[in-house]
Amino acid sequence: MINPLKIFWGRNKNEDELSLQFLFRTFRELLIYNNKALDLMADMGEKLSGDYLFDKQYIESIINQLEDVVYKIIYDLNLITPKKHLHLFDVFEKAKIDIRGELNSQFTLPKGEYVYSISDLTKEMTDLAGEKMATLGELANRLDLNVSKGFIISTYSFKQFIEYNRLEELVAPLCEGKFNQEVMEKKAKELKIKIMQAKIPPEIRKSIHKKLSSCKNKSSNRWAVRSSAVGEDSQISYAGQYITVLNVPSSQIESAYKEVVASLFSPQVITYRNEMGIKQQEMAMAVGCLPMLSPVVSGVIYTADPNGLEGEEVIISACWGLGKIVVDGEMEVDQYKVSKTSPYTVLWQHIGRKTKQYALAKDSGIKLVPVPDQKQRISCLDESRMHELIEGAIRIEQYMKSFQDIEWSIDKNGHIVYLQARSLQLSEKNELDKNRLVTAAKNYPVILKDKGVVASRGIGAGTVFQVRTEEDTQYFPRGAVLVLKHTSPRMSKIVPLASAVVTDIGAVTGHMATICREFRVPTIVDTSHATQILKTGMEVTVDAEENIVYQGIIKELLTAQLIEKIPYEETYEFKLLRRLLKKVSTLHLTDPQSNEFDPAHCRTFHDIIRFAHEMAVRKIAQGIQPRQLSFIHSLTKLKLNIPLNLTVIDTGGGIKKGISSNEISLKELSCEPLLILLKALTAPGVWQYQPVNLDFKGFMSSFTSNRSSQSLPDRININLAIISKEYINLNLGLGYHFNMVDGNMSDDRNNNYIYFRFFGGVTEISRRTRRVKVLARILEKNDFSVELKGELIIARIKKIDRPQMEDKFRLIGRLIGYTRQLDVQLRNENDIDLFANQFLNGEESILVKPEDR
Amino acid sequence: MNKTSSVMIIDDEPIVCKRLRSTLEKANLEIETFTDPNEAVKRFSEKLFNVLITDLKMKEMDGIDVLKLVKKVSPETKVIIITGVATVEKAKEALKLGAYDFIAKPFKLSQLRNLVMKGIGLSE
Repeated sequence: MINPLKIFWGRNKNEDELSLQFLFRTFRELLIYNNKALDLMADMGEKLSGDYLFDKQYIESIINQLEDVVYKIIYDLNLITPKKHLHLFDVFEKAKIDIRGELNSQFTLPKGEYVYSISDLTKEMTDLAGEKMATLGELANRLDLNVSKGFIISTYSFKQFIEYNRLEELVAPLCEGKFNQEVMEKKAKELKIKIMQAKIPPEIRKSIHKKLSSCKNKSSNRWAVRSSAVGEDSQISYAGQYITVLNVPSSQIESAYKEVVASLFSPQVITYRNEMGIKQQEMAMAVGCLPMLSPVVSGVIYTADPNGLEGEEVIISACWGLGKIVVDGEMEVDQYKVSKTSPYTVLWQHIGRKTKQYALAKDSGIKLVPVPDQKQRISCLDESRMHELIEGAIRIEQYMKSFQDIEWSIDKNGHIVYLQARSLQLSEKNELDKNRLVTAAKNYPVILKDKGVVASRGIGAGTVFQVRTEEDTQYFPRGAVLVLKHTSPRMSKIVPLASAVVTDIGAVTGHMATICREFRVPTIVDTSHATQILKTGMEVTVDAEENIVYQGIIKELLTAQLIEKIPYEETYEFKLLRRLLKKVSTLHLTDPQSNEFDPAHCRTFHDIIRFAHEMAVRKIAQGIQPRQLSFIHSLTKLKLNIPLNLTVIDTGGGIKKGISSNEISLKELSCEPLLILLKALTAPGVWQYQPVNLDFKGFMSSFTSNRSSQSLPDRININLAIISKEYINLNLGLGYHFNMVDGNMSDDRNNNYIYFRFFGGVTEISRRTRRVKVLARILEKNDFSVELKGELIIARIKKIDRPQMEDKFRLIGRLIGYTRQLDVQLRNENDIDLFANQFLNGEESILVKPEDR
Repeated sequence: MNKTSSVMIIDDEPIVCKRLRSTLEKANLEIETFTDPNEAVKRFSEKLFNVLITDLKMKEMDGIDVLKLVKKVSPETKVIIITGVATVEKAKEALKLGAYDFIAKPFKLSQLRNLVMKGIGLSE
């Protein structure tokens, strides 16, 4: 960090100059820390691509580094804007405590809401919603599948419920496995009775009842109350050990809740946990309340035959009415073995004699009723439902990256509703086949190999669909392989539909890559020429584990990735990193214009650095105050072949060593961005000497505009460049408009950026506005992100490599020359495109409209 | 490909074993993993492996000790040391004791696999 005292005492220069140098040095330092913080967050994101092996040490070390850098950013901001933002230190401490809590505990139940709608749940919320319900939310939100949309009572409610009734003393010893079997069973029974007698805290009751009345459950006001424990259905299967209470009237929901909660502590569950050695883990139960269906057909689909080994078939079981008969396996049902590939040929089927079915009882619960004779021996699944079911199941499987065991129902309207999805438990010998499956890929032509970087690990296959424009996105078919020139936030909306993504350009750490990981879509970016090879209509397999694209669809490879028992996304380290990344990188401060853009609304590290960066840039963008320039006569002037009258302040390495003259030439300059920019600006034909063809209206306006004539005296003087070897802050007042270029150019693309600001002019406002529109067209075409406000334009670009940066600085140089007197020529809106295109075609030296020549 | 080569992996962090196993299995290698180095060393006395991948810092036994023991029994086994950034210097020392190479966490799975393949003599 810069020591202000050192700067003030260590050198013998005019005090104003020193403070200016200090300001810019600190600003540059802040920018470097800012980039470092963004890099660290990007690094965490990159590790989530699945291509890396990391452990908890890595997570700890990166969090330490991040804390360090964020602290320095706040410190530097308070140097630039003296003590204005001390409050940020408090925000920082608060965010830090939160992160530390997550990092240091093996597992803690997060604080959250008491209840959540299913439609608000994602897999990341497993700790709040339990495995089962979080997965259901994921099916609805990320896969757009039809699920029963109710709500959940969270694990946070569970914790409050236990504490409110002082049940911790009974719960803890049971969780820790302290008793022998006999005592344990006795204690478990006691606890169950206590739970059933316990009171639900008033504020939780209130939340539950609010949800009960607001959820769309018009048909019956009956609910299926389902267990959703933390850890259930994931690494260890508790299948069937927890209770589900069906057909519960709203008035009885509380007792059903308690019944489900109590099943967490049943002797069977405790024994099972002890045997599996998971005593140390906190036990917690979320409870799902889903509108009770009265289905026509229900059943289970396995996306692999648990006894077969090829993974090329699905197994479906179905019965009339509710699915209990299938799950319990007590009576005959329909069973089908169907090919997993379209047209989904039925390989084998057994239509059972279904004499009974479960239906909803009148008051509550369910009952067995007879099946009408004519329905007893017919298949309860027709072909089209079956196909729809298989397609849905395959989507879930691809997304979850493991074979699935899915419960479903079909309602009266013929709609499939998914009730539950979890990993299918397979026999051990399935692992042995992986080699054979992987070897099958050798028979397919490789069309891309080791080009680009894996941004999201996995394997996907389908038909290529190249998307060039935003309009193309409407036609993107589900399951296709998305091929793009650039990664782009605008394309993110179709990511969930894609089976894989391949791009020419893009970063692992970009927004779109993050979305790809979120939706678990296998992705390779930065291949440089995928769009030339992967043409729309081609069938390909994208192996974003090995970074290979094959021609053809390799079913074996798709199957191979499903064999993993626990996909890497489900491991402890991944979950921890993902949770932490979310904690540090979620951005709440997105709009700098908003009233909420202040320290009080900063919650995460990302918020803090976003805010600090914006405040620092604003401070610099205010430009140089005339009083800061009282010493300007003593500074170095740059000799140029154009009348720019440019003064240079070197903050380190910007001027060649041993130069002490007060007037230097370009040759003595070693600030590369400034050198490139000025070479472009002073090239023949760029700086316009001839008087421009000013028409009467434009001419008059230059004399009548009060604003311009008032601000005249200040503007002329401020042609100043604050530089170092890699850094440039250039303030140019040219006539009546103002250019500001702030930028950095190095070999590390992460430190590279340009911030360009252009404002004002002498002509009437409409012409000045047209001029910034010309600028906007040109800058956008050159990949800058552009903000336009009246006669002000702000353009930014960052993180591009040195050769590209050189081009951009050349462009800015040419633009400054080109637009200097352009406003007078822009007589109507049509001129905007005309002049923008003229520049883009490299014809800027002919600064006249064709008809004027 | 000739006779399948065998690889032993020792790391007290289960995630390392799990992910390395899954990566190396795809390369048609025979894999055994151990989170307890004592058990691993015992197993090594029963069966020799072509490649041994071991973490440097483990609670039960130091990776350097594992290296020494294994080199005594089977000098031709290629030993690859996994290290954290903080212990790179120590890993370099391991090279003097006959380790084949070392790799610092976090690393790309493909990097380690290439290293293993090079060790076996099947460079990719």
